[in-house]
Amino acid sequence: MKKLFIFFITIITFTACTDLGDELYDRIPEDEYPENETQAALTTGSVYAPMQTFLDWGGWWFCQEIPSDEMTAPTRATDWYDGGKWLELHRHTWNNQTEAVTAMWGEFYEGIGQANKIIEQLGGDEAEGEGAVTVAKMKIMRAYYYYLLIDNYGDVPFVTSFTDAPDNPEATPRKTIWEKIVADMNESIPYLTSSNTKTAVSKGMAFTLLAKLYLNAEVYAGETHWQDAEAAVDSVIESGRYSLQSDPMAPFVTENSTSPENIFTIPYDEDTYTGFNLHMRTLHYQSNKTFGMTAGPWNGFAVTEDHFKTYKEEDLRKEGYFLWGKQYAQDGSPIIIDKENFTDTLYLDPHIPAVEMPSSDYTVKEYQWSGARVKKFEIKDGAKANLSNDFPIFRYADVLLMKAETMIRQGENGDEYINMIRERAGLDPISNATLDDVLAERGRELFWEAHRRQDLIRFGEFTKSWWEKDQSDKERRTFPIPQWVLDSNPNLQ
Amino acid sequence: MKRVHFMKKPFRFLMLFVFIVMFSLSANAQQQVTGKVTNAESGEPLPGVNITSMETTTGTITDNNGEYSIEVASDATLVFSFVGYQKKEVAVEGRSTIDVALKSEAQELEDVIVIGYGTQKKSDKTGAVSNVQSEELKSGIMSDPIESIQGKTAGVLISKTGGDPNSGFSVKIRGSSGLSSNTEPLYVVDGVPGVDPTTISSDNIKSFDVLKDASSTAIYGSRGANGVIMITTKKGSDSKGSRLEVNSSVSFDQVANRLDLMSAEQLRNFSDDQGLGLSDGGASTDWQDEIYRQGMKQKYHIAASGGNDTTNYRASLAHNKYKGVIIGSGKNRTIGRLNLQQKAIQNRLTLNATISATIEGNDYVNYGSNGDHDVLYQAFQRNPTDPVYTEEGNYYETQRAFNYNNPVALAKDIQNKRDAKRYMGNLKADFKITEGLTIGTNLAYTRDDEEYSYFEPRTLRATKFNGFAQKRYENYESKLLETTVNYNNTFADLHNIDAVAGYSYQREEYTGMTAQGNEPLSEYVQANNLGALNEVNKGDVDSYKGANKLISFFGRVAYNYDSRYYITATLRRDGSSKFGDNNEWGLFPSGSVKWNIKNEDFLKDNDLIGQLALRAGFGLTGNQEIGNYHDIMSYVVSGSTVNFETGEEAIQFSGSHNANPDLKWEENREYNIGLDFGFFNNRISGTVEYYDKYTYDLIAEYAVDVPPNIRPNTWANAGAISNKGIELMIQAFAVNTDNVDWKTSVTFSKNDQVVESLSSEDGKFEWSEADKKKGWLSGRGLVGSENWTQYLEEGSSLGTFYMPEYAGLSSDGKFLFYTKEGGVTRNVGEAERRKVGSALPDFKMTWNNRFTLFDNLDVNFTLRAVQGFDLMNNTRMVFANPTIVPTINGLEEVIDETERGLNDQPKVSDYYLEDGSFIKLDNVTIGYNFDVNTVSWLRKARVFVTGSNLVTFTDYSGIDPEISYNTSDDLSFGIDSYNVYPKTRSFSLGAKLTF
Repeated sequence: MKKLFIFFITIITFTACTDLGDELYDRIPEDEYPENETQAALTTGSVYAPMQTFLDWGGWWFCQEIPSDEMTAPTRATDWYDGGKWLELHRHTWNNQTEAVTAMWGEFYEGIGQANKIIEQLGGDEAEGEGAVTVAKMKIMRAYYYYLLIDNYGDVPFVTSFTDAPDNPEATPRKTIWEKIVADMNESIPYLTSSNTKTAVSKGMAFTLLAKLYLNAEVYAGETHWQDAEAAVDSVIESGRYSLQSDPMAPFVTENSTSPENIFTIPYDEDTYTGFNLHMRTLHYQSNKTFGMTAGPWNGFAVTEDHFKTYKEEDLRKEGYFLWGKQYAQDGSPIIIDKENFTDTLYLDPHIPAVEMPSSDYTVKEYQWSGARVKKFEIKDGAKANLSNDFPIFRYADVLLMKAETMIRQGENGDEYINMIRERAGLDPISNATLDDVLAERGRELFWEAHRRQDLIRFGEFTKSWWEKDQSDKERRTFPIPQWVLDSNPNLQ
Repeated sequence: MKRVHFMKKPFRFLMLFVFIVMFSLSANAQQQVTGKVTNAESGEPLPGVNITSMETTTGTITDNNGEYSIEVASDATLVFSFVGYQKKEVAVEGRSTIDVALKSEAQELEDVIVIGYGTQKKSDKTGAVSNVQSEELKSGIMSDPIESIQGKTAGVLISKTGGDPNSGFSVKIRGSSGLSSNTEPLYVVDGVPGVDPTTISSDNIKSFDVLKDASSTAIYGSRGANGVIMITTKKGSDSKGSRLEVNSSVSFDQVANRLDLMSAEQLRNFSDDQGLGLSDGGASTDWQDEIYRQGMKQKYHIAASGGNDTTNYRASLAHNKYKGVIIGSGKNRTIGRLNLQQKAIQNRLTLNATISATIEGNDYVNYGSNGDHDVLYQAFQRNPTDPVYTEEGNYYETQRAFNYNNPVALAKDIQNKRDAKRYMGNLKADFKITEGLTIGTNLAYTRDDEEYSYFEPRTLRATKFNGFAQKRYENYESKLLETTVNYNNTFADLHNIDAVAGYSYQREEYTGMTAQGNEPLSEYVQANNLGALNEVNKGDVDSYKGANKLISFFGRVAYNYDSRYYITATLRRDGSSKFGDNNEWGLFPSGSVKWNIKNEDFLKDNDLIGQLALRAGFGLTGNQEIGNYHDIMSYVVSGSTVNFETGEEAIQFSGSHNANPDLKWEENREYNIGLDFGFFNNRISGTVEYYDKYTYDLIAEYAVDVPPNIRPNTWANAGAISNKGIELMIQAFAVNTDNVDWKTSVTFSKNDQVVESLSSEDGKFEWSEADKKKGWLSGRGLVGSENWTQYLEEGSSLGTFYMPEYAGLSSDGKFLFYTKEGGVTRNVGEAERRKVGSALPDFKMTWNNRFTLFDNLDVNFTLRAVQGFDLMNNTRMVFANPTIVPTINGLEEVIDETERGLNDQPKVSDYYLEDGSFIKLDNVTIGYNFDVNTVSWLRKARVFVTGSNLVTFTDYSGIDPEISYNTSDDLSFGIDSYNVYPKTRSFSLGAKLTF
């Protein structure tokens, strides 16, 4: 009996394997990463990655454009009601649970967290050589995300450490953050070398960002810095790396990654880096025939009639940016819409009867055909549901208009710079341009590039009423901190 | 009407029957055997008992005095069978007189139950174990053998959303639940854990044993928390002598219930009445007619078995074919299985080998959401004035609204197939060292090779990228090695001991690869030649490989004194690669006691009480059904990115999630008290169980702060859920006369669930407010942050509906909801969320009946009820809303809603929450057994007709109130959202012959 038992135990111990380690095959163990230079070079990619979401699910673009006077997302019968989120943005009645408002926050802080992490991994201020350059770039990217945070939300938690970050940070005043990031920028810029990189931090990108921070200092910090703004703008201009292209549409073509006009871009690709699908949101259901697109667009966004009217007939940008009137397929044949009540050529009418068009009160033509659509970014033949055009966050035309603005604000004459933009667009030059002229020209030139909300706020126009938007409270100049953030951080409640 | 050529194949099979008359008689010495058959309880003679010889097909029956006479071989085995009595086999062994006493079927106590690494007499069980024998299984053609015990055991909720032949059943034992772990029970087939029961043909199943409480399942340690279902397959040794079974059935399926969508005429009239601008497509199409068809199921099964004292075998082949009621959906499955048993070394060594192969093919259709490829949704919304085809015979397509596609084109033009080959090999060796001491080894290898093909032609309107094709291979492999030692003995006729100890090693490995691309330039080659794809991008080729290991030591000692006092203790130590370094090994103990009161002197001779036993058990079990590598951080390929410094494309590697070396199994602590009883000679018997389960350390992926964490998510143990309930099973031989037998049974179960905690004790991990919102609805117009219906909350059960309460319509037809302050609002965001219902049922009940009439005719029927639960009818919320009409179609209810004045977008509220309670007449089977005593070569011949899902009594307005209690997201259920593939009402007929 005893022998048998021993025999049995022997069998068990003989066969008993007790190694329980994870066997990894299709993934890289933590301690092996990064394996090579290529992987290492991509680690800073996590800091730029949140920007991929900006034009869509990240909500940033929606928050800059829909609440402004140039864009609208009308409710077309039942389409585009979407729980009322577009109407809330348009009418300035959003709350802290409105989708786009809630989405941006997380993207910005994701970028900040990643930047803090890399800065610490590289030794922070102790870093040397290439490491110090990377730290400087990461600090500038961190400043960029904080710039977006104070621009959109005002007072927010200011965290610059990864490992020592507080669990529930309190909000820091907008002004304090502004001061800190401006200081951070000024310390970091000297580390940068000149480069033509448009998809990462470059000197041009850094000075443009700095110019934005100074230009909006009155909003962010209650003090004006026109001169500092102009100095930063001059640094960009004087670098000589950027120039206006002669064709006003050139910066927006599909292959625009080398455009000398673009300073800082999101490098979208229709397959491998998706997220630029605004053409799907704006084009009519049948507009795919106009562009030979395989995907059927969604018939939503349109330019407001008032903004559309600010483009003169001779303005090259009008034809370039917009799609309106009778619509034709690629082969030139009219796009016929066949309905029981009518058979007609599709006609996109810049006049939008109302921002909310129930089918009981409006005709099919009214709710489906109204609003001029936007094709500012080239929709190439056979375009897919995502575009490959890079999206400019900062563009040289913007820099020139900032130059004009800072000059005028300091009592100087900014005609030279504003007219560079006007003349390229086929317009007559103006003289003694006013701030109103600058705002109007910025509206026309930078349309659809997500600058309008900030501009309207800086010029004190954002809370005024337009079209179907009533006058709004001045609190609407920032968005509320999202509910989900308040839920998890009692110090922000 | 379509002609259906259904008789062709069954006829072919009948021809086969005729050919298979091949088993000649053996030529042993013949002798005369006489004797008398009596009732074991009363001693009265039993007339009409069937007596057959196992080896041959000779047979006779007893006369009025219970006496018989038969001529058989001297080494033959006689089988005595009589309706309502247990079958008995007696070896002749040269005797000339054999008297036999048959026990009535009510005395099922000597049945053996399978309890994991061993068996037990039913009367010796100390835990909550339900046993279902093959005779009691539901008949008809099943897509999953688990369906055959639906409603047969208390406390086991077997459900399925809709009638898709390609979708499986959800099985929940005692409300088993987690936050993101798999809560399906562990299946153990012939001792091999983890076998998919769909690879077993239901005709090959001898019995199911459902281990429900933790004292029973603790022997399976970290896999026992959700209950264990033991499946025992039929073997050659189950019936001596050569035997051939052939059965075949065919079933005709109709869609049991449709949505009441508006017809073209209704829509036209409605539009005219309301002055709506209907753009009339000119046709009158019933889109449900277009996507539904008559379904059909066919089943063929053949099994041959035979052997002698030392060797026996059973070989079977089953072929099932299912044609779904939605066009383009179907499945076929062929299972071959061979079992060999061999005894050697003076019968001390028993070898048991099984191999099985399952070949499965599926044709899928897309449905389940409101996407542009979803056949059901597209059919529901499609305007009935749109024709199916253009005059040229192409699919008619038009853009009435966003995501608007011809459902017939979707069903017919998209190829979506699976082709699976699944193999299993199992070798068991048991060696009896001395009387009572056995050592055993169990080796098993399982391999699944699955191939998926998907193809969308360029011409399909819904296609996004100029067409799409994909091939996907998924392989799975499991290796099992177990060694056990068993000891059982009886000392002094009073002390009975049964002990087992063992070691188990199981490793699973899975690999796979996908290749896909856009713009196929050939419609002919489909996905069979991906070389025809004109566009292949980064990320279009992908592969994976992973593995996990589970290593265990276990033991059980069961002791009883004089079959009166029982005590059982088990212990399992499990180690799993899925757990973190600090918690690799877990210990799972259990204990149970039983007092068999019936065997006490004071009850022994009591005629009234035939059975009485009281049981109590406690156990600790675990659930390790989470994915792999959750305990460590690794870097995984996560799509393409840009090297931002250069602007060039690159491959992204991202950290998976934070490492958590403390990650461990979910733990389940359960108490169980049971009472087994039987009265009136056990003509009425039953079991009552009460259980109290507390499942804690629930595993989920928690959002954590970055910083200090590197990644925003960590897999961790946090949270607890309790389940308490009672289960009752009563069966009665209600009528037992010469010509009529009626056996009836009722099961009842009630489970109360409470989410006890949603955070870890140290507060490190907790559910965020956003994650607590569950049951999100999707559909036209349903975008935004308010479209959630359920809320995870401590103190409530999972599936608790938290919605704005409907307060009527405003004068201009807008939905009004109650606010916290007691007023009303139009804004969902301002409405107060209230607890308005629960998707979990109050109780469920079944009533099974078996009538035997005039010995040959039997009638079975089952009524099944699930009561007291709510369903969110999102299908109705969207399609009964007048604002969608006439652009897209709506339910007839739109007309009523318009009259009521509703003029608002769909908005989430309890207005669309409906009582889902139902009673179903699930299954009626009428069978006739031919009198085969005069046919020497035939043992049994049976024909039967079955009606399935015949009547549903419910107030629910959707397609079917039965919704799975398990979804991919375990926490959102009870939502009808265009995801209900219609259930079918089916009639099948079949024949079963045993030679």
